Amino acid sequence: MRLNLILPILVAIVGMIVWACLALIDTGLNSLPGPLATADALWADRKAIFPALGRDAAAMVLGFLLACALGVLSAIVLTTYQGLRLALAPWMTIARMAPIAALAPLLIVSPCPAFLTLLIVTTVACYFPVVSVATPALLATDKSLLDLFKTYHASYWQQIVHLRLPHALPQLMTAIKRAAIYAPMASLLTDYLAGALAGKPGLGRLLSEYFVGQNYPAIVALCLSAAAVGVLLAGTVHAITAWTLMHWHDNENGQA
Amino acid sequence: MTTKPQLRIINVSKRYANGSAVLDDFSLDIANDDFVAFIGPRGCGKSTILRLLAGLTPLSGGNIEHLGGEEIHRRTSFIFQEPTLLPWRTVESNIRLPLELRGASKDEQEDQAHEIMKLWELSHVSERYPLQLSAGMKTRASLARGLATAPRCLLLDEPFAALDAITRNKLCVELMRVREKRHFTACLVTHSAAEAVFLANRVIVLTANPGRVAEIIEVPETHPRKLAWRETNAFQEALNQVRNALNRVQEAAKQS
Repeated sequence: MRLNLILPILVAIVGMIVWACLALIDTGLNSLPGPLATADALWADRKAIFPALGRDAAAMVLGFLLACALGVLSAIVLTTYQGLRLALAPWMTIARMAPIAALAPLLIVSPCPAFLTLLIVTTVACYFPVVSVATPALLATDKSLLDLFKTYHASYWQQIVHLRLPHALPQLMTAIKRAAIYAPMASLLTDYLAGALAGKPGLGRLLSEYFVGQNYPAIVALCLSAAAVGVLLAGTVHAITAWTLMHWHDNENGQA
Repeated sequence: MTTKPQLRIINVSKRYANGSAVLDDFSLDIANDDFVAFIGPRGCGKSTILRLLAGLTPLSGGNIEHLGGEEIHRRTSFIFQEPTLLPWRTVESNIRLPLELRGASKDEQEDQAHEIMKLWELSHVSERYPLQLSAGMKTRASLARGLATAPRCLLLDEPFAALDAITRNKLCVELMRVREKRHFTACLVTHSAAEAVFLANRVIVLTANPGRVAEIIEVPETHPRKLAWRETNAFQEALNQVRNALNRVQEAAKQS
């Protein structure tokens, strides 16, 4: 087995042991439940946690995919129209800097169904990292390759499809990885703030209920479940990145 | 060899935006099946001539007539100093690229690519990516791609500059062998007087800033030439003529 698999598993085992020890000994963290208590809480509240997790995960994945598609399309438009790019560039930077904790309450519009709200906030949170990296990446195409395409009399769209997009793929995949990290955060935070609007509670709403009820094992169980979905999404993106770039990109080939 | 001109460069000049002249009053006729080599001091506009011929740079003055019309202009192929292979495509896919962009059918792409790979002895690496190729193989693939569309004129901008002497000599011989089968006009830019004499039937020595035709040295040896020809007195004599012309150009540049 390779080291990049063994070492994280070892760290997980050590982490579990440390966690169990901290829960057993008197550290002053009276509310920290151990791994077994957390597993019990997850099982006991499974009928509340898993449907909520499913709803948030669906909004998270859909929002993430939508943001990636819109981000790349917008980057192509901004690459094509210089005037539009110059007009929007500062606002793109500002929007990218704005923390999602500040943006989410602004985007939570009461007439929207909770799922749609989650989808919108997750899309917005993931969109800016993608578009802000994809645009300069599409513009930074190697000049000699652009010249090569000119000698082939390639059309603008042939240039985009066959040259600019694949050339930008390494940076684009890095941006998409970052967006995959933002997606669960945005989804959980929005649900925490807007969960009260929903008929069925999501993870955020459940979280606030568990806080009020001081159900600490369930809080940890819920956080770990949300993290697991986030890890699954980031892992999938990482695997796709490795697969698409493995033959031709130095970093993915271990030759950098 | 016919003497019918294919390209006519008439009083061409090229100036940069800051007003500095790269080429001035440059005129030359290039015949069908001609192999012309441009040589001269750094900054004399050798590469600029090729870029003007390929339509990559606009003219500042004068005219270039592609005798035979637009069709011939579109059947000009440019080989850059770097191999400019698309790293995300295999060797075969890179060779198919110009045909793909031209809208050739899949069958035509496959037939042409296989034929040209056989000609350049690339069939065994057809599925490899550029990252997996040696510098010599990359140049070979780049030359193969340049010929995939059966160009009437091949523009070679120092394609062997980054190669070691053995690979460079080997590829020069290969280029001649392929040219015997494909019959194309060639314009080569090089810093190597030996390479120019070995490949070309006319060596054009350019003056330093701005570039003009200083001397034209005819190399009467018939194509294809063998490596052994480089050991003959005829080769040495032509080489000395080119070197002396270069010395005269450099002396004149120092005095002005």
